[in-house]
Amino acid sequence: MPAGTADPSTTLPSLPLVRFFSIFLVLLLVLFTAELTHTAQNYVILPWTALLAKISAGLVSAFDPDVLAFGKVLQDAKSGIGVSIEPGCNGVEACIILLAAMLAYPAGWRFKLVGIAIGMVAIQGVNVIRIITLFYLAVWNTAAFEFAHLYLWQALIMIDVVVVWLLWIRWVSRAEVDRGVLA
Amino acid sequence: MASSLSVVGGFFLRCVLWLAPLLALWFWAGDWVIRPPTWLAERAMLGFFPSWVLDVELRDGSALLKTTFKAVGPGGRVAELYNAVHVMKYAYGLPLLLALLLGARASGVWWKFPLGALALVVFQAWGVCFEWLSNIAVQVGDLTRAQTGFGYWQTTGIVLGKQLGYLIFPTLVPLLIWFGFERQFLRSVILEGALDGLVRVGRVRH
Repeated sequence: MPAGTADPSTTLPSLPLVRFFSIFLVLLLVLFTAELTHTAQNYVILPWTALLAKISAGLVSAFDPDVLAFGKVLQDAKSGIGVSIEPGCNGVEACIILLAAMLAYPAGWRFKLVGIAIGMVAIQGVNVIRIITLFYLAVWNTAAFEFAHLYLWQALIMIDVVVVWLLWIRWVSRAEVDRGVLA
Repeated sequence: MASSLSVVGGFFLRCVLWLAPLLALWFWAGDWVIRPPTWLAERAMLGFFPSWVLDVELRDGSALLKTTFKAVGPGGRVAELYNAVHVMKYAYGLPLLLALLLGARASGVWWKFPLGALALVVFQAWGVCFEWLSNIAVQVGDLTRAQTGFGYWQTTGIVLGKQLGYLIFPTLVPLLIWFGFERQFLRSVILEGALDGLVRVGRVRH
């Protein structure tokens, strides 16, 4: 237990929850609607989804040469079974939620930009693991694939978002003490 | 670093460990889990569109919306249009909410979870309703437009509502409910970060 001169609980700023929630929900709606536009789909979402398939195939083919990627499809060359990476599977919605949560949180822009950059990488990293595991589950067993695809990984990705956000908040709080903002 | 992960790291581990059995239990109880959102979705559809909605039937985990729409096929044969939605894909927020509450070692889970589950039902029903509406307005829009009267903006709103109901609400709403209940947990994360910062700058000694 720390023993010293300061009681951090008295120096912490109270989180303005109404302001946070308002900004968060507005940003979420704006970003999500923007994601659905043809422009965003054509220039951002579809190229990103195709790149995700290529990255996943590149990683898998390092130890499994039978995996092919074309467009947003990842396919097993032997069995012909493949998975198509669709909206909801490309991690974009999870990134939008994290982005809105970080932008809405009262922190400096430097913290926000660093958090967003690292957070996106963390979420998409887990999402690549999701795609690879789902691909092998699809090859192995359809029922297991459906369960993992529709329920398990959806929940896990959201837990990932929460944990990344909490770690970032913790880092912001610590860094602000370092900078003398809170102390 | 071990101490720096104590609050968030412990939360993450507990969440993941709880999620697996809770999800399995939820899946096993699927027939019961889908009843409340299906009932609410049926009430909403009957309330908003009484002229063409007949009723809803549960069949193999899917909610079947029966309507007055009919399609005329080759030879003049008439087919009734039924609209099936897989309800479970909107309902996995239930085990996620409980995993988050247990992961945060929340007090009062016995009342927070049922209350949260009740709130979730509204958003689950939203997802089911908007998938029905999207099927009616987009997939068979040419057949149904005369009866529904859905124009461009209504159809656009329905598509947005469906995307929100499928891509955002099932995962985000449990999170927001959890956050609403467990603001103290967030404060403990902030406090831990601040304490660590104070230790680093030498204002607090271990």
